[in-house]
Formats: sequence, C-alpha cells, structure tokens
Amino acid sequence: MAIHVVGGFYEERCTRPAWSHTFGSGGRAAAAIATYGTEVIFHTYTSPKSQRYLEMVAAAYKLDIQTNSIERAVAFSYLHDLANPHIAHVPPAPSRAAPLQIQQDNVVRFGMLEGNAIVQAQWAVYDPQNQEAPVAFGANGSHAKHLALVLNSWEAQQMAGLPEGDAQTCACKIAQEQHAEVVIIKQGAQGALVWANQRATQVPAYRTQNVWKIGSGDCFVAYFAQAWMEQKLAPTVAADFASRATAYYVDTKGFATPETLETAHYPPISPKNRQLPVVPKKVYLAGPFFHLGQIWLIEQARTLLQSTGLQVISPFHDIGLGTAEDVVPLDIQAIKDCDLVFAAVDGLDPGTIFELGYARSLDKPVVIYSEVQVGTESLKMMQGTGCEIYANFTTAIYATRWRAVES
Amino acid sequence: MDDLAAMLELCCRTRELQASDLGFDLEFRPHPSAGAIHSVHTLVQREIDEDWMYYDAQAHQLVSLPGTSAVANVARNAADELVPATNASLIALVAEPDKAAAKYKSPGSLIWRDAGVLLGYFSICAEALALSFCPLGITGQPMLGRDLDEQGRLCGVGMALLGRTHLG
Ligand SMILES: Cc1cc2nc3c(=O)[nH]c(=O)nc-3n(C[C@H](O)[C@H](O)[C@H](O)COP(=O)(O)O)c2cc1C
Repeated sequence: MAIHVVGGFYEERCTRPAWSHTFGSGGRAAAAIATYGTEVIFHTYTSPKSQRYLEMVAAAYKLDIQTNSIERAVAFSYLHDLANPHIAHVPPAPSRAAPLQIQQDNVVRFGMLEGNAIVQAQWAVYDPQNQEAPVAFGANGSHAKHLALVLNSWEAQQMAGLPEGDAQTCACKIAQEQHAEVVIIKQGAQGALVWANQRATQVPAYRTQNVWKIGSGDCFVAYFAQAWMEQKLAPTVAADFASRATAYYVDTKGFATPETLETAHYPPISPKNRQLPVVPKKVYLAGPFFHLGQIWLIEQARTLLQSTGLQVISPFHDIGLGTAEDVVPLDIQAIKDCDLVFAAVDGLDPGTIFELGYARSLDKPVVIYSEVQVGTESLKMMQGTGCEIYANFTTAIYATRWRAVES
Repeated sequence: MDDLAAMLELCCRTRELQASDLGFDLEFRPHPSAGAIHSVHTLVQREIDEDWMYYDAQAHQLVSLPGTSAVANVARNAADELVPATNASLIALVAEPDKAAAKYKSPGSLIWRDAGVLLGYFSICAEALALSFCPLGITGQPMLGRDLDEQGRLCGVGMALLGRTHLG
C-alpha cells in the first residue's frame, strides 16, 4: 500500500564536501522509500522555484506530489556535514502557512518550519525535527491508531521532561504520555534504542567506509516506516533494517534498493561495554594550534567528540602553552592515560607527528584526519603502523567514535 | 542558467558514490559509463568570451577554469561555422583516458561509447525540458585536447549546442 510522506522540501548546501540539492527531510524520505520500491505520495509546501525542482525530483524518483504554495522555500547551509546549519527563510510563527490535512492509512510526518501537518492515520511514523522544543504528534490534533516516534537523545529528554534521563526511562514515559506503540531513540555509534511492547531492545549502528551525515536521520525514519508500515516487520526488526539501509546512504549518498542492499556488507558496531555506568573513553586530541584556522579545527573536533560522551584531552584546552619542561611531561602523561588518539595532521606539525608516533609505540589506536596529505609519501609511517587515515573530517570523527565504543 | 542546471541535474549529477581502489570513487550518474568510472567530463561556455566551466557532478556545481576563454572562443567559432547560434551555450565533452586506463587495458573504444551515451542522454533530457540541443558531429580537437592541457592528458570527444527553443 502507498505511503504518504509529509515534510519539508528544502534547499541544502554544504561547503565541504561540496554539495547542493533540494531535498529536506520530506523530500529525502519520499525519494528513499520510492527508490526502495514502495509507492509514495509526497505532501509539502513549495515556492515557484522549488516547485520546478520538485517536479524534476518527482520524475526522477517516481513520486506523486501534492503541494501548497508558499513564497520562498526554507534553505539550509552547512559549513561541513557535521556543523550546525544556517537556516534561512523561516517565517515567524504567526505567519506560517495553513496546515496541510492528511487522512490516509500510512503516513510519515516530519515537523516543518514553514507550516504544519494535521494527520489522521491508521499507521504513522513521526519525527518532530524541531530542534528547539520538540512538539508532540497529537499537539495539533493529529491522531494515529498505530504510532511510532523517532527521536534523538536530546529530543527524547525534552519530550519526556527529563533533561538528564536515560534513554529507556524517557522512551517509556513518552510512549505512555503520547500513546505511541513504538518509541525509537537514535544514539549514534551506540545504535538505537527501540521501545515496544513494554520492552527496550538495542539495535546496532553499522560501520561504513565513508560517512555523509546530512540526511542520515531522514533516511532512518524513511526506512523504518517502509519496514514497519509496508513490510509489517516487528519494530526491532524494522529498526535494524533502517539502521542498515541508512548505512548504505551514509556510505554512498545514494538510496538503497532491495538488490543493492543485499550485496552491501556493513559490519555492526558492537559496543564492548553496555553496563552502566559507562566509563567515558578518553580521546587525546593531537593537532597544531598556532593560528586561528588550526584552533578552529581543534575546537570543532573537540566539541563533536565530546557531544557523544567521549572525554577529550586537548593540549590546547587542558594543558596550554608553556616551556618544554612545563608542558611536555603533561602531554606525555595524557597520551599514556588515553584510550585512543585523534590527530589532525595537515601541515605536518612536528609536535603532532611526535605525539602520534609515541601513541602508536604504546599501541594506542590512532585516527588521522588529513585532507591534504592523503595519498602522499608523508603519511607512509602512519599507514605502515596501522593508523586509520581519512581525508574526510566527518568520517574521521565517526571512525574515532566507533573505535571508542569498540575498545 | 536554470535550464542548464536542470539539464545537468537530469543527465549527469552523481547519485551515488562507491569507494574503489582505483584512486578515485566510482560514481553512479543517470547516464551509464564503462566501469562507473566516468572519464568523460562536461565543460560549458555559456556565452562568448567567458571561460570554460567544468561541471563537478558530485557537488552539482559549475567551476570556472580561469584563463580558458581564448581556447573556448576558438571552439565556439568552430561551432558557429557549423550551426550559427550565438546565444546558445556551448557544451564540450572532454575525455581523460588515464582515468579509464586505471582499470581497462584498452580504454579507447569505451571512451567513445561513454561520449555517445552522454550525447544521447543530453538529447533526451533536452526534449523533456523543451530545450534545443544540437550535437555538432565534431570531436573538438585540438581545442579540447592540447590547447586545454599541454601535457596531453585530455582529448576532445564531442561538442554540442544547448539553447532555448525559439517559438514563432
Ligand atoms: C535544526 C534543524 C531543523 C530542521 N527542521 C526541519 C523541519 O522542520 N522539517 C523538515 O522536514 N526538515 C527539517 N530539517 C531537516 C533538513 O532539511 C535536512 O533534511 C536535515 O538536516 C538532514 O539531516 P538529518 O537527517 O541528519 O537531520 C531540520 C534540520 C535541522 C538541522
């Protein structure tokens, strides 16, 4: 049976890696589900310009479309694919477009910035999308007989009103309060927690060669919805399928078909330790910090690693500048104490190269990010001593997170 | 520009990447290519006196190639002699045989097939978008080969004109 997708159709631009497309959560989910082989009707708002583009996307992915017109489409721009986007052309709350009304059997609903959707469905999957204050599915009068919510950890804590709550407690509370049959909480490298039938089950994330982050969340929702509503798979099986199909997107930037997914092999990331309390893994952040550009990078890497619960020891932040006698023993001790090293190697700073060599001699895993040096002679020693080397920043950050949960 | 963007989107834009050990990623684009290698690049000169622009299919961006307006004009003059269409965008297909040679022993015929397929796709997409498209039947040598890259790594494999259908 057809799946109706309602959500944003937004311009997306990324500076590095260079990318520009008009997708948004709604458009991407619609394209993903249709490529997998299920008939899709996509409901959204379009501007005259984005309408023209949507017609092309609809032809390319074989979507039926139902659009309401607005003046300008919302536009996202990202410096890199893990950065917070700039969001343009969001109308202030009072001047949002009139809500779309959707009464169908199977509906995937994304929160929207320019309007809203009121859904009456037999089966519905809902991703609130709203980064400031996630809104409950039923808050605008929407109703579904079978409802699944897909949330990230932060959204789950906000919705549950438990800012420090663990995933399982949040999921249980939200399911009860919002009459949801299924609550899924995405947890990055840890996979996702699926709450259904009064039980929590964990599904893994899958390891890929490349990581392209923009749109991965949208794809997860799309594939879960396809599996749960169309294939009628059990929630945990559907979530595991979604995790694997999303890995395909993250790896290739493309949408899977049953055939391509069959032949793609992604190993699950299996956390070494699920016992609570989890002791945070320590990452030593090696890299030069002599000018703003370098400091900027260290700052980004530190924030991104910390945001998934890793403990980061950054010489710039935690040790500082000083004489050799003052700082070097502290740096060395920090390398000895860490679980793994993330090294920013562009510029071939001697301090950084010394640190990562020292770490390898202690058998600490080292993940290298180097856009410029990849494939040159300069990285031969690192390659030969088992460092993981990535030219793509996001991939390097993910490789570090995966290493950390598996070590 | 919107027409050109739509055309490149429909025909050439990379849909999916696959890591390979050839030194570059394999790409899936709307039009097929031997080994998913895509060794034929698309260049555009929108108007006379402008530089060639290279279409980056992964980023969906046109990247200007500075200092190429003179060679592009030579190519445009050659096109004009065949089909006078001053307002059309000039499209050039430029092959990089070494890319195909990363996998195949004799890439020659594969490159010509890739170029032919690409011209065919351009024609179909132009029809769908109600644009005029005219392949010129010339390779574009030496303007797209030695004139563009002294080291001889490139080779012209076709030229075409793209414009708005003139009604009435
Ligand atoms: C802060 C923020 C707010 C967003 N709000 C919406 C929204 O209201 N509706 C929507 O359809 N997509 C929304 N998106 C999704 C974007 O258009 C884009 O598809 C998304 O960022 C893709 O990445 P993800 O799947 O990793 O979230 C939002 C994204 C972000 C980061």
